[in-house]
Amino acid sequence: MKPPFCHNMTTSLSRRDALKSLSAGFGFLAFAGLSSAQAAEENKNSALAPRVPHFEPKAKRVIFLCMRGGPSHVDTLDYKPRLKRDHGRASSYGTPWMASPWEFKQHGQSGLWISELLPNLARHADDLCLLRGMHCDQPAHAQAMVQMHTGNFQFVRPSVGAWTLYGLGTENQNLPGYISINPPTATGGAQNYGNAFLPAACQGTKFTIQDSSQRNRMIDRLRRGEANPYGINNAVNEQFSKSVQRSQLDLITALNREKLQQDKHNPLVEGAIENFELAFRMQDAVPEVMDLSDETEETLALYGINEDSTDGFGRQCLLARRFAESGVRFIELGHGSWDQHSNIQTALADNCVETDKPIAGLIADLKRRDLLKDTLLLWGGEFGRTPYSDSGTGRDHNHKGYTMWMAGGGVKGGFSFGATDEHGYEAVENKMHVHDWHATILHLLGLDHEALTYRYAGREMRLTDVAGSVAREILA
Amino acid sequence: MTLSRRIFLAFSLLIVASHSARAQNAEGIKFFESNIRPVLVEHCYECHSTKSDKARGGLKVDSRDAMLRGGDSGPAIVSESLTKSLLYGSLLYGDDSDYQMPPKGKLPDSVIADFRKWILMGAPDPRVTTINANVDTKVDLEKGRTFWAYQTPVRTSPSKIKSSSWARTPIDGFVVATLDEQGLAPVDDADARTLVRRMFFVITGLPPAPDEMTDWTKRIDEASSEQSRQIAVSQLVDQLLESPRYGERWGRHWMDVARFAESTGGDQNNIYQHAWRYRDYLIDAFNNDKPFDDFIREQIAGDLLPIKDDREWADNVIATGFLAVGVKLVGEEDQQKLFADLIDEQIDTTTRAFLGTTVACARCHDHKFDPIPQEDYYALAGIFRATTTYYGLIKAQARQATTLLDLTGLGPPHGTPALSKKELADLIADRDAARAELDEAMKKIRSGVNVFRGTLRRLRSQRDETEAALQGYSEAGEPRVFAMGTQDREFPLPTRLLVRGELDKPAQEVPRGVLQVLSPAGRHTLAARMKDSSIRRRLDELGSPSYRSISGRLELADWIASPDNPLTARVIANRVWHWMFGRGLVRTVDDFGQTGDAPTHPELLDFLAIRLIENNWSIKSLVREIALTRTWQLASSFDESNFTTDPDNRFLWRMNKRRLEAEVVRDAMLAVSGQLDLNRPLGTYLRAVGEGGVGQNVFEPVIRGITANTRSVYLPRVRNVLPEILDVFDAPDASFVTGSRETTSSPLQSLFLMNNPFVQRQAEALTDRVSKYPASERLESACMLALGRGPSETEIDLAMKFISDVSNASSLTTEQKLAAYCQALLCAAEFSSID
Amino acid sequence: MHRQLTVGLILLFACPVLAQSEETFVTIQKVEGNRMAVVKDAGGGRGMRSGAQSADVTSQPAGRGRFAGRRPGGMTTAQSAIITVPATAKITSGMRERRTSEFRAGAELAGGLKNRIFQNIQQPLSARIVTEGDRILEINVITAETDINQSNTDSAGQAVIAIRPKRPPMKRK
Repeated sequence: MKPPFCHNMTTSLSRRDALKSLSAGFGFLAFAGLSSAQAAEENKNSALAPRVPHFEPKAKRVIFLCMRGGPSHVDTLDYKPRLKRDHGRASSYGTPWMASPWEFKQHGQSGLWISELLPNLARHADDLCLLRGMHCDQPAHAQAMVQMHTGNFQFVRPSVGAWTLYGLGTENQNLPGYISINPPTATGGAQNYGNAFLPAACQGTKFTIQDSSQRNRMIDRLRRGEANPYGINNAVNEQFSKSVQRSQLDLITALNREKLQQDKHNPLVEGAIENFELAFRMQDAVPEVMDLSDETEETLALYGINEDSTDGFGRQCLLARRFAESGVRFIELGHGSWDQHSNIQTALADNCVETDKPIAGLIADLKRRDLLKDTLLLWGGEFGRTPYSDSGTGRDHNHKGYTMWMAGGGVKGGFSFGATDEHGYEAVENKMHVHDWHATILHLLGLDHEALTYRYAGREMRLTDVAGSVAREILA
Repeated sequence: MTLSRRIFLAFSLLIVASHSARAQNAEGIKFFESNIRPVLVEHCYECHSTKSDKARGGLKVDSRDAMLRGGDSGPAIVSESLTKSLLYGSLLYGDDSDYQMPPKGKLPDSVIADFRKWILMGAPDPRVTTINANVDTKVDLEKGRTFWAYQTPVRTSPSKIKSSSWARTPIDGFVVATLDEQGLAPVDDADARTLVRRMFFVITGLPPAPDEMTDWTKRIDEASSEQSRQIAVSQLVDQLLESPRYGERWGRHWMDVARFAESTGGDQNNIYQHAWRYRDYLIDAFNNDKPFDDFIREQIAGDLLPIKDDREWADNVIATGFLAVGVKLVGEEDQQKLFADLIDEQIDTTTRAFLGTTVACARCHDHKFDPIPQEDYYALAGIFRATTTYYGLIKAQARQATTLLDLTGLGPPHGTPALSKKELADLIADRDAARAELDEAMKKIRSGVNVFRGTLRRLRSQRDETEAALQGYSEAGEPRVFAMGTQDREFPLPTRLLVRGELDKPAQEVPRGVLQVLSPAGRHTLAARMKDSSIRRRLDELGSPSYRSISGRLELADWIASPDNPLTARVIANRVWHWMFGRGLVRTVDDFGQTGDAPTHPELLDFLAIRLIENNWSIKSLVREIALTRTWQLASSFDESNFTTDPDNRFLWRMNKRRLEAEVVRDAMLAVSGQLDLNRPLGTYLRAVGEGGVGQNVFEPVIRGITANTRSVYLPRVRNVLPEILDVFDAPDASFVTGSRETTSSPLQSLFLMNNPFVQRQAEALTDRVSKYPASERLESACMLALGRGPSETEIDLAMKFISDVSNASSLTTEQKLAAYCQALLCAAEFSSID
Repeated sequence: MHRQLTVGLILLFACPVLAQSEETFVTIQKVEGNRMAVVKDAGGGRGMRSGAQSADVTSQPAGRGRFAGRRPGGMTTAQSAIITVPATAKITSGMRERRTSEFRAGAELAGGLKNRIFQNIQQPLSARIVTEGDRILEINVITAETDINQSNTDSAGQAVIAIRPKRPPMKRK
């Protein structure tokens, strides 16, 4: 039996430590009118000013396509002819083997086997680096999700995005450095984009846009209400014009500066001054980046926007490209649920329809804008699914062997690394644990996962805990 | 046949039967091993075993106990009975697809016949949970007993406390002694205005009204001597402590510690419609200055305490909501697992809240840092396992629903308005209609018509909800009074230590008891403690001599609330210090163990602990005493040299500057705008959203749509759906004990302040108040109302500049410009912080 | 006869579970005056789950109805006995709690053995008999009362969503 969920080590973190890093030698941010780079120049000690990585990076930013629920690898990216042969026969796990109802074919020059569920993605086979030997520690959603994001399912630890910001800062000081679109509220919630003990600035900012396809939109509206067109609340001032607001902001800042002068030292007030400026800039930057009206019809069509099934995720992907272009360091998209215990034939197909075209569009779009080479794309869920059937019509959780992929950002294209056994149940060759996945991601960003540490609770903490090794075979 | 002959026959059959039963056993086991077990492993374990961590329908079939216990529908196996053995029935593949096992296909007839034979022979089964070998501990308790926090607080004689001209009270004496050691010097005293504002916010969570500010600063400033100045200050303290606003502020502090929320959180997040009673109990307890040791006993064992009347009984039961309002994964199928997790949550909360000790870390192994062996966890678990927790929810909506405790007629107020005749009739009609609908559907099923499973579920849910809604009222339409809380079981359950905390790996039996490191060797068990006459006497003093609880919870509560417990008084005194100063003498307020901080002023901490006990555990007395110290009344001015030595102000050379908590920020905005409604609302606002899980029957937009100008402590507190303003300003999510809140700093806070309609509305209302003044006084009165002071010269200039800039650049009315100015005041850091 | 009865009792109740008193799980077949015909449960004596044998339609899907009536009882007649219930014995309701499989006694049944559940027993009643030595202390009969883990509403129509807590002792002095 799996051990019970352990308790957090401590919840009383010292914010003084965090705020210290914000205010040490702090210089005031330049006000509106300065370019971002200049602002960064003047702001070398700002918590999120861009930093030089440990060594030459391949990737400058990450887009993580998180498929919640655990997508079935044997139906999408892990072709198992033996499974086909053994369909219906008793497996050693209780229920019989279930072959994939879909056909697999080879694609691209590399000849990767991809199922017919992903025709658009398959066209980019030569860009994909399939990681077919993935495994993790927990077959339960909450724990596996948290482990995938933070490296640890027992304690509260910073997310991979927070570590990235901690190591690299961000390029665009007008936008948050780490954005998570439609993160799940359960299965870890804010922990998945949280900063735990790292400085507060490393926290991810949650954006909410209309979820999935149009057919789910009504349900979502009922459950969660109308999503904000800007992805975040209070992004825009509906009352005052820009100039009035600027004057108001100047007044607030002047009042705060007065207080700071009297107090002589007050990290809270310093933080407030910085945040108001960033917020003011976000008011412009966020609606601008969220506004798709400057995209061509062709681009919208490329992502499947305004088409019935693909509109929701298509928008997420397009936004991801726009965020990436704007200098956001770490972007996470969310789609679900891929937890097909039953009805796999319809539900999995629907999931693929909703995401296949948008993802292919994202790859193509990044490529033609020459962004793919230094943008690391990650795709996958918290685990995979079993090659034997759960209920007869679906598959159960499988944390022992599954597939994720990477593209761009310095990985080999048209490549397959790692393999599961003949049925696709367990990773047997070039096994890659979540820690290894994390180590490799950091490596591609130019960070040594063993050197990127933060002292907390008497220990040098790192994303990969005491494990993880870079999968050098996949580096281009 | 005569009666006696019949009995004789029965009697002899009994002997024959038992003899043959014995003889069959070995053969039966063999049969099981060859014919039954492999089938179970191959076809059933995947969904019904510990190994695969699944318990579909609540059923596991991987042990004899589990099969006899069965799952949601009943025992899977009943010896010798085919009709009662639900497992057999499902193998037969009847009509109901729920009961066709295994789902993939009916097993061969020969296999089913084997099962038949096996059940009829008595279902012999060797798969009884083996008891594992004793788990030994490596914890060195003797050494552990020397830890500072486990020593009885030491009384420092007054003569030892440093005498100094600066110190006004004994507490000051301790502080200045440490300052001297560290080479630090205290800054100036706070000026009257700063002090008054600080006092109001810390004690009541609300800003002083302008006239209060003027009045009190005058009284303090005009005092002729230091002594009369302090008299004025003490009058202010007393006035604030008497105000019911104090309980709302400090009750909210304790709600952080008690992880109070109005929903289960976790997987399904069902609403707790009755948690509010516990909330109001807390507020009232602080307002009435309930002695803290009573407070402890009531929350842990209120249902067991001797009472003087009904009302006391009811209030005590409501207090045990402390144990019931935690996070629960109510979708959990495995009952045993849910029970174990519930106990774990209760142990964690109780030990962290009152003892600053993380005993729950010892669930799977000895505590890694503190001298707490794994046995200690299970000693406490035995006490909580003998307790039943009642938290409600509707069975159709949450697999793990329970009943509530009915306190109707015992005195607590209603939480909902009484129903009119029509409303009552409507509820009855709804219930009857739901029943009828369900009966229709069942009729259809029985006559062979297929009914969609989802529909059936919905109809059952509807029936249960309408029934529960009706059950909330008496036949006359009077609301009934329900509460969440605990009760003892009939008998305690023997508790075994679980290897690695795993339910299927029991080891040695552990007698109920308390922490070993806090007791002399071998005297920590409940049994041993009951031999101690002083302990018995103290229990007797609760009001009913020789009365003892079945579970041991009363005895546990008494142990915690005892003046002899070295941790309890220190932990709460430290919490009070933290809430007064923004930082505790022990910074890690929830952890007094090895990984926590050591106290910065150990003698002072002991002094406060002893004081508290001597003052009959009165929190108000402690607050008062601290507020009247010179230390607490220091300014928060910066000092270069002090800062170099002690940048974190650990040694209290000044008062800490701090941002106010989320609730206070909101309350302050409402107070300043004149919109604050000080009345306590009836029950909970969540009444309007109904029962159910968030996202299933209850929807976020509806919860977020609840608006009220009441004090923030009364706003709905649904886990993961906190009101936006509270979320943005770091209100805790109530997953666990939070003695100390975070203070994050993010642009989302700035966006909220600048752009959110709530802030804009308060600014407009403030403008309305300000507009009542003559035009020349408006800027000043706005500043006075918002910040409690008049504007400086520079600020007047800034304000004028702002008004003129805005006039030039836009066509706003005077009102609107003033509103923009007022909003700027609300956004300023000074508004949401205290010096 | 007395001796036989006593011996029968001793053998019947020969499985001590609790430290001082002993419990035996039985099924009550028939009640006549103060005498009761019972059959001892074999195989662990788990008794019937509360509510499961009630006439509640919702907890009995159609499939089970097929064989529910086919074998009435389906039990052997071994280990049955007739016992005389002393007037001092407490007759209460009882239920088995799912969470811990513990059996709990409920409120006393009005009228003791004269309570209507003992008249015209169609389906044998599961019960627990608590004895000390050879004295019967209590008989807890499993009724269709809902337990702390709310069962579905029984067809009698009374749902129980809240119960009265147990009253603690009064303060003296």
